[in-house]
Amino acid sequence: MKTDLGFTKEKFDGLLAWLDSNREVAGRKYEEIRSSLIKIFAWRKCGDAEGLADETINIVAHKVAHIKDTYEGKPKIYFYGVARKLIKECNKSRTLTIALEEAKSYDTWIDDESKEDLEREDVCLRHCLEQLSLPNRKLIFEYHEKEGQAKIDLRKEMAQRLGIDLNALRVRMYRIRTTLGKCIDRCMKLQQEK
Amino acid sequence: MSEASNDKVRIRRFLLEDLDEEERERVEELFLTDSDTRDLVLMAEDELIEEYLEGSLQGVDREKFRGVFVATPQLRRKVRIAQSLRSLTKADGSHLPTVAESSTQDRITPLLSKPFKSWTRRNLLVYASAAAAILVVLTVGVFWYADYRREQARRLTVERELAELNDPSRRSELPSDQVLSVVLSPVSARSTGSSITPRATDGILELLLLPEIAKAETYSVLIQRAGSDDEFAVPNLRLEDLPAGKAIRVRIPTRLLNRGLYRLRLNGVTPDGREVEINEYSFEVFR
Repeated sequence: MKTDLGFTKEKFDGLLAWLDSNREVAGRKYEEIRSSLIKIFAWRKCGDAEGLADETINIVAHKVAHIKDTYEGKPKIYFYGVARKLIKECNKSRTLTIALEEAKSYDTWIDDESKEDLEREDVCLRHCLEQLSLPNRKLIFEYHEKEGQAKIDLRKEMAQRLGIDLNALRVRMYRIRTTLGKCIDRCMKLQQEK
Repeated sequence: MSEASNDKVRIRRFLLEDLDEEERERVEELFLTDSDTRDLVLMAEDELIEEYLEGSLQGVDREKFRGVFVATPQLRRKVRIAQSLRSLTKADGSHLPTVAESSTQDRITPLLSKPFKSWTRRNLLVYASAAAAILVVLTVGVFWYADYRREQARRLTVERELAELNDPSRRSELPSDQVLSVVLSPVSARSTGSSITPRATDGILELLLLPEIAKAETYSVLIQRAGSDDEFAVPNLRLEDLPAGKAIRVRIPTRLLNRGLYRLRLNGVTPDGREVEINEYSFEVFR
């Protein structure tokens, strides 16, 4: 069930101030909390993960004025407390959603979105790959090039060439993928607005 | 086992919904509050997707993965993008043209002299039109190719799943409430095939194909839905002694089935290695 509490500029400013006294740092924390909440709701199979993340933030923003002087602990834990309640609500209504999802055929599970969305995704992926620095672009292509044993050997060779261990290579690839993912998100939003 | 690998296992179990509620909430809280945990979970998620796409994630874990990653558009998109990235990599997309490469002509044009310029302008128009046409063809080609790759990948994934499900060495008896068994006789002038209404929830449709002749070493089945280009092959099937008689058993997850008429072509591989068409079967799915 969605709560429409209205999200005014004052409330948003109050929320940012509670997250950090430095507005820029607070903005980054806000983005991180939002994206983490979306992931949590998605792993919980709540259909509208983005909507629920926004609703969580909305509820917290409305409570900040009352709790900021008394609440002890990390603000992020408070967000999670609110999210947990929404997860419980989502679990109650999920049975129906799952039944519908499972009734879908494979045709619709991987290509569930419209053709336009898929085309946008393709365009954005290509665009964002171009935005990566050349060395990073080469790395990400090389990293995903092979399969099975050849993949393991290639990754060992890459790590050796870069003078890092395999775990550091995994982390580096994760960072590149994160950059790519953020770029694709931005690009998709822009494309949708057009 | 080290603490790090314990964490890795726990995170993996978290992503596959294999933790109890309390432990799950603990991981979620850490995911939100601790940036190291966040990175570890997201890396594990990337690796699971990679394993899924390359087919090394199998059995129960594969099913659990599907259960989670089909549920929301965000996760579906992540899988799709990883799949597209893999396709581009395999197609050697590392040579994507860069903006810098394409702007060389723009820098050269202002250096041309005036009379020469008017002559070249006409030619440039011709060349530009030709280039634009080539660009349009290329763009359409790229989209067509991306569609084609996506379709190929989808078909391969379905065929891999069908092969796994029907592999005699791995096949186990399933609980009766998960399986809908249907005996199919070959299509004849008088038969119209069977009508099937799979349950809405996930299950398995088990087709028992009764062959008219049974001289092959192994069999394969080609499944096709009328009015669709989809055609999936299931290889390495064997004739089994079943309560319904000697039959070839083919299992299909019901979620792969759409409403419509399906045709199955049973081929046999003879002892001398030849593949011959044996029988055709049909069934209709209602939802």
